Amino acid sequence: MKTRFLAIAVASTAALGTFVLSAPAHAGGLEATSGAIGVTVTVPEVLYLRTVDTISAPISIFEITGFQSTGSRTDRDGVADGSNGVNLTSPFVQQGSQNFNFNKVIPNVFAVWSNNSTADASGNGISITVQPTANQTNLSLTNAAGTTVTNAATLNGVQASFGGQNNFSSVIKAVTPGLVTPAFGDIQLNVQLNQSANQGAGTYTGAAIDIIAASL
Amino acid sequence: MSATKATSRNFLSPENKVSSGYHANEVEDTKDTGLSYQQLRDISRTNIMICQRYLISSLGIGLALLVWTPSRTLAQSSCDNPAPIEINQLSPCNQLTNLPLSASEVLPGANSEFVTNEGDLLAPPPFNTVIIRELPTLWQMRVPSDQVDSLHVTYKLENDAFCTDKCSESKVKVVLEPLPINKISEDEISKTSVVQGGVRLKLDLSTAKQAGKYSGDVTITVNQ
Repeated sequence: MKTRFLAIAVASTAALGTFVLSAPAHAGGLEATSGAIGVTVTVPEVLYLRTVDTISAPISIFEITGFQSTGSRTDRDGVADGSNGVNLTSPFVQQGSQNFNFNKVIPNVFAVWSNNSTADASGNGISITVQPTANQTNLSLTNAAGTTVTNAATLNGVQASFGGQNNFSSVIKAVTPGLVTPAFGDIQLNVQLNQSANQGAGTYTGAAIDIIAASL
Repeated sequence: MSATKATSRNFLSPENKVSSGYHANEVEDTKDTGLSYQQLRDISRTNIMICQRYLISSLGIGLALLVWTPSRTLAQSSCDNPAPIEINQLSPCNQLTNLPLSASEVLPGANSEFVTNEGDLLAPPPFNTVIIRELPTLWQMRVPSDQVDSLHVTYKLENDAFCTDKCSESKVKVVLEPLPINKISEDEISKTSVVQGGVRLKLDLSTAKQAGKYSGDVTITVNQ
């Protein structure tokens, strides 16, 4: 009897083996597939601003005065008749002209990348703000003789515009550009040559501007 | 001699739930507003019973027998879920499937720079747009021990990307690489082993135009 009992037990082990291994199998073996497993990645917000280090731009007399003169120019104006003579009115200072107050556009000064996920009511996600640096608006002239004239010019203001738009303002906004192609643009400097200085030719240096990029 | 009769719980009904989908824990999306400040100067100066139980029905029909022995543990299992009992039953591990990335991983250095050549202004920015993550304990399974070496696993992700609302607009492209399958334990009596596996994800953020949560459903197929 005891022997028979053990025999049954052994048989049932074999039966169990088959039972346990009855999971569906393909020809050649098992295949088990899970259900959908949700995976989430949280991408952080980042912002990157790149600008040129130095702005150095040649400026023509025409840009400053509106008077077309490349190099030297000879005009004839006036009659010497004993009381009158050559016209002493400066052609560089004309009625209604800029009077040495001019705007200079410098292209491709800044580029910004951002993946900001929020936008303002107009759909913009980033802003660029430009301003002259505090206490750094005076330009000194270093002329050909090597002399330095301080306060030779003043940087009165600066505006920015995104590339190709010509829409200059001290604060500009754009749609968030993403991490590959940036939003980039130009600046416009408002400069006044100091008329009590000698408005000499040469390099005017010393002013600075701030460029601030922000996500909206 | 009286027949020994013992009853036990029927271990054959699954106690472990089969993976039918579980979802990531929600994480607060904290928005970090970036600000960058520059000054330009005119003068140049310019980065895995022990108890032997026999279930015998009084009619001698439907014999079922489950033998537990201590299994040999071969590797450190980091599954919180107990190993499955049935074989060929793909079961979840405890893997958290939420992958937060930090801003300093994507942009490791400063968030602004000067360039001296105008042509460098539009050069690619210093973002790490490809980031690698691993989910090493995604699943476990009990298989016959002699089949362990012939197993292989594939992972599939719809669109090969994690998306926000629509995959057409903004997505994180994903390349899935199976990690090696590990044998966690071996049971000499049933001649079965528990194996565990996971996946490596290569995340490409360049098409993710916006910060935020990107999700997708991964399916696992284990076969021989």
